[in-house]
Amino acid sequence: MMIIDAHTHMGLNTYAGEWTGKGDLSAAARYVKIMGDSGVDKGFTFTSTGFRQDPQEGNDALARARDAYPDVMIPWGTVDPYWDETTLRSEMRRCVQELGFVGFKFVPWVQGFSMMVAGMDIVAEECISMNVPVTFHDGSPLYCTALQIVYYARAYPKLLVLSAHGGLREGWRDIIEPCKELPNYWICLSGPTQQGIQMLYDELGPDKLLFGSDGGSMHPAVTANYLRRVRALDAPQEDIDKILGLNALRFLQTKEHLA
Amino acid sequence: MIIDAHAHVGQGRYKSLAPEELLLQMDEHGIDRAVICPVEEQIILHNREGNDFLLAQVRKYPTRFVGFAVANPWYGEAAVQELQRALGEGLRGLKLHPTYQGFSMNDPIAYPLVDVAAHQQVPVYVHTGTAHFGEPFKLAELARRYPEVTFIMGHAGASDFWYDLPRCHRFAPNILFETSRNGPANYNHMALNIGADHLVFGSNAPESTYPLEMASIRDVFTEAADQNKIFGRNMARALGEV
Repeated sequence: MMIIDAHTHMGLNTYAGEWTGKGDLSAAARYVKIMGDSGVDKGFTFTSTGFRQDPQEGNDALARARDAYPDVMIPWGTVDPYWDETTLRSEMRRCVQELGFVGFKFVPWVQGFSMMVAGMDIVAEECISMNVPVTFHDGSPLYCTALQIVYYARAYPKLLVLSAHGGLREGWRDIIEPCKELPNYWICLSGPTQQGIQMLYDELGPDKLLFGSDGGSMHPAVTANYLRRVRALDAPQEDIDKILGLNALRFLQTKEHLA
Repeated sequence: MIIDAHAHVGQGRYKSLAPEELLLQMDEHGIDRAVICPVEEQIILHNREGNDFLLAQVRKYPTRFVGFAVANPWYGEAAVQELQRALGEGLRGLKLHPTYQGFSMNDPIAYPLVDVAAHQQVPVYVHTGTAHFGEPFKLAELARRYPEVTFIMGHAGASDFWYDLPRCHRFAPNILFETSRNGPANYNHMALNIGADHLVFGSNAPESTYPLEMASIRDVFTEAADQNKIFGRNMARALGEV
């Protein structure tokens, strides 16, 4: 059974305050080793530097890493919604059409924008146009509460949106009913308490839940932690297998969900 | 000696756990003692009911449970009297939940209750991590006002305030950081910036389980000496036992 980590970063061990490489392949090698040692086959791979420095450089570095490890990394790009419209649309199209990225990841509180800025409407338009999903850090004040992301998904029903943290420790209750309502809103389980993870499963079933760790370049135990949490679910093995990998594959078949 | 520094018992809207069920889990996973506190409604509204429930449990299982009293500072003098009563009858600390109880830790409304804790020389556990009322620096402000009191930062600011912990530690060294709701990445940050002497293991049961919480701590703090501190010795020290 293939295990896919739907939330990983390459290149910055934030919590340890340690840069593991801005664009060189040593960061990618470290990422691949951690994933392999953890028993994870593939990852939705996000930039780290791209959220904090130059998004285009981050996208290029991620593309180089993916080229070196195409069997492990499923790359997602990022952009700055404050760019002028031409630059914004151009970089998004470059990411998908030239670099082969599968979607876009944002961390609004780090990147410093509200979900209501005009550039995020352009992001939605481009993602819908290119038929790629978008994922957001959620569960944090001020710019990315769980419901701020939900209402973005609600505003764009043809846009496939993945909550990257399931609302974190306290926002997960907010997303249960919206997830039932919105076909275009899925949840990555990297964040809720164990009680929250179980409740999301109990209320929503397995089909829109994805295993994710926020690991990759982090401490190796980060990946192990969320593997343990998903495997500890009170759920049949068939459902755990979906959450650990099968759903991630299905999630990427965007057209099927929103047809 | 393993001490769970934070568990809930009682029947609540979101958290429900019978004391006997907690004891079973403790026995299964080698937990010697647990610091217990009441659940939601009793933290917010029905403080005496919650404290009486805790008192019954610590009398029934005196070697296994330590009880932390709840008192909502908005009750004013009645809260002070209830805390004095609960401590006088056998509870051994104060639990504050600024988010549920709706107050700022650096607002004078909290001071009368902390005055009681200071007088009785018992620790004060404070929920943190929720935006605004649960901001760790608000607890640091309170802790700096009461340097003689040991404060336990519940959940150590998880999930979003982990960046602030080293500076809380630097300016309010009388704070211990309780581990529940955190994970290996945050533990690694604590290991590098705070150290094992100031961390206490908590499960936040029934929100999580002992195997999940303990495995992640052990993944990061691999030295036995550090584990001994985090899993028991630091909390025993906070309780005045060592």
